[in-house]
Amino acid sequence: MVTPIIFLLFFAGIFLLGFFGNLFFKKTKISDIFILILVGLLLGPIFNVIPLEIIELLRSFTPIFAAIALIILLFDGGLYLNFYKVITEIKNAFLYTILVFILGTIVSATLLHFIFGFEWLFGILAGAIIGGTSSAIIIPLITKSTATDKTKTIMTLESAITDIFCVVTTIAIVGVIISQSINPNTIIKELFSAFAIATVIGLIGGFIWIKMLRDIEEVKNFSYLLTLSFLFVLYAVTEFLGGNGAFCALVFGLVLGNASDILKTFKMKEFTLEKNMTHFQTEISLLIKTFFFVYLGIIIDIKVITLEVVLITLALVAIILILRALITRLLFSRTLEKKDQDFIVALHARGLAAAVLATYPINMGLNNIFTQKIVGIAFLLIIVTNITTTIYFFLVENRQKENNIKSVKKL
Amino acid sequence: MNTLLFLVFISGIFLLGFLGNLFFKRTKISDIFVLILIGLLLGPILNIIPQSTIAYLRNYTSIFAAIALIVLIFDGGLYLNFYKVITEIRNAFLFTLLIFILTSILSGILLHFVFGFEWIYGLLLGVIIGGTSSEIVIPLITKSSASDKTKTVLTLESAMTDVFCVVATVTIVGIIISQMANTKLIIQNIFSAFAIAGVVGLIGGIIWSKILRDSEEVKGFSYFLTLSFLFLLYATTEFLNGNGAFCVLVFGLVLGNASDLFKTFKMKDFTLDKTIHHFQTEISLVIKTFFFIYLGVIFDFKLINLEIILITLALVTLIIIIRILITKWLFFRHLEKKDKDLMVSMHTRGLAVAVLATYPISMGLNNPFSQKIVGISLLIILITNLTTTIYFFIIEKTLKKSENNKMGRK
Repeated sequence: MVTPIIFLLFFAGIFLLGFFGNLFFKKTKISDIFILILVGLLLGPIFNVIPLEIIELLRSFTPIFAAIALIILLFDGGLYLNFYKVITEIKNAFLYTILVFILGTIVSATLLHFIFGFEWLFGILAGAIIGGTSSAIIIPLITKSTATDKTKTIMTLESAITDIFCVVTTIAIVGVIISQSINPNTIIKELFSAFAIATVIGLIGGFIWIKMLRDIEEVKNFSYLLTLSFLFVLYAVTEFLGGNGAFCALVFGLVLGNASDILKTFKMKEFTLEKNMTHFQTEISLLIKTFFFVYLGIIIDIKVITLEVVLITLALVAIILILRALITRLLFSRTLEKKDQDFIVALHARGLAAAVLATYPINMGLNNIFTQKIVGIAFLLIIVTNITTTIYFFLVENRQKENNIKSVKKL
Repeated sequence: MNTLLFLVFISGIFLLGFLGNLFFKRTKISDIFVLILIGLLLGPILNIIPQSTIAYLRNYTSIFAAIALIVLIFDGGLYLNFYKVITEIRNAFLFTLLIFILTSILSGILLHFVFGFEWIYGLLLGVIIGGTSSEIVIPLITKSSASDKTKTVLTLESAMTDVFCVVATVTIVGIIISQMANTKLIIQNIFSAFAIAGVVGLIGGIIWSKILRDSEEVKGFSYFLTLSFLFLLYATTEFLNGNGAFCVLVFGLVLGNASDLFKTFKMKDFTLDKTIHHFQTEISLVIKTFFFIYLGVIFDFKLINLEIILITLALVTLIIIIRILITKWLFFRHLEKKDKDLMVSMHTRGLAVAVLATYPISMGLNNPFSQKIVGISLLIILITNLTTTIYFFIIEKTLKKSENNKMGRK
């Protein structure tokens, strides 16, 4: 039984860990994400400090935690993006995401089929599940990096868009395996409606909410939590209508963060988001991020990791990195500096979306060797890509620092 | 559980808290009643939340209560000006102390002799329900037609009474747990519990004020770091056998009065950030809303029987009679009839009672008495909310009428 004292210590400890991790990141540019996941791994599967039945219980709440984390972190991401930059960059971001996702899935499936003996469909399924970067990990990292705004915008958008591709494709392929029939039309329709519904609701919701925040005194006193409530409702409505809730949160954040400019464009009475609100959002984001990563570590099941799974994972990580490097070169060699191209390759970490989707086939009744392996691969891949992202990101930032020092010396 | 439902549920509760707060501001009818009622509907009455989940939630009462206690007592300390309380209004202090002591002792006697409570549990219940609710009384009285003196006295009463209730409840629970009949040891223990809490809270508060003042990094995450620090202080105090709740109160007082305190000690100036106050208001509302609904949800109707109802009615009667007597006796000469009536009417119990009612159980005292205490306290909150609302309404209405009559005559 958890006593109040232990619970309070746990809460305070985790938050302090997040705070110091954040400081550590600012000072050293070494991302704290892996440390947090490691703490989770130690607390959960490795030392069993948290008893097994609580871990099981926590696992059953994964979709809820994932939704809350996605909502808050994507809202945060949207809040700090520039609306006009998003409009100019969205084409690039889409193209990049689609290329990385499709090529990643195909190459992964080919590898899994020919070398590791996966059936084609299950190979594609694995590819789709691990095909996207994690917005919860990428957004906090990129916003605090020295990348240009253009890169920041593209990366944020990629991580948001990619989730939708992973979810829709995974669900579609599981459907194909279960019903044994293929209908590419539905996939395209679903993808399109997922984005369209989310964008429309996010935009309209954002406008309505700006007006409320601007005009109603009562709302101002409780601005943050009311905004969050409103956002939760928007998310639920979007998902209910078949749209992608997380993308809706991004659009909503974008509208709120750019309220001042947008209202001016439409010649409406002026409004700027209160400072209190952004401050609160920063605190809540850190809280959610910290708990989320520790949680991620806690629920990872290390028993499913075998030598074969390790080999497959390493091969897949190599493919992910090579493809990112190639496609980045192909699309951005003219428009972005070398450092920014490196950032794009560096930020390839997988997160909770992969964890949630990995267990989806089994939850849908597809319990066989392949789907069991997929769970192990996805979990290990999350750990490995977070390590590689941390190292890669640190190297890019560090080289950047050295260059700066050199150029200062030359002057 | 379905994710979308969960999200809608959470935002529904936020909204409810917000609207309840608005409703209270407009109508002066307390929202606590509504919140507990919603909890009752969701839980034991309509069983929307399944029985198994409720049983599960009950296991965590001690944790929820600890968090609510910390956040809300911290809130109380933050807004209390201790210099004013002690120096300016001796009258209010006397009034509060008298009412508190008489209410608890007479309740204890009533419970022991009439309802067969053990002495110590009778007193425990007496001190738990001994104080009025600042979060209901203050907004009610500030917008009433009472004189300034009455307003000050009632505001101070409701603020100070929380301290008395917390201190007394914690002390009595400590006595029950340690099972010591040795008076000397009891006094030593009580003293050390408060001394430890006072020292930890004071030192912690000063250290934290300095950190908040000097460290840029901390300012960026001031609220949650303050909360984390507070949690650590609470845990440390409890670990050292001190009284965590009192420590929280002292910490809140230091932070809330940091500006004055630092000046007194000739240190570099510091005033608590406005953002912390703003967050605290939002977080308090959330905690308050969830906590009242939670209380409704976990409420066990099996606990309510004729005995509990009779006890509650007897206690409410006692509370009102004592208020009438003391008001007449202490403030007979200075105040108009209307003001005395208002003083009597402001007897509603609120959050502190709810939090303290679960405190014995959270400290491991789970027995028929402590379970009865939860039921009685909850009922008392509901009933005093009703009686205060009605009483207040009647007074204000008759006042309006007599004013209208005067105007008519003129």
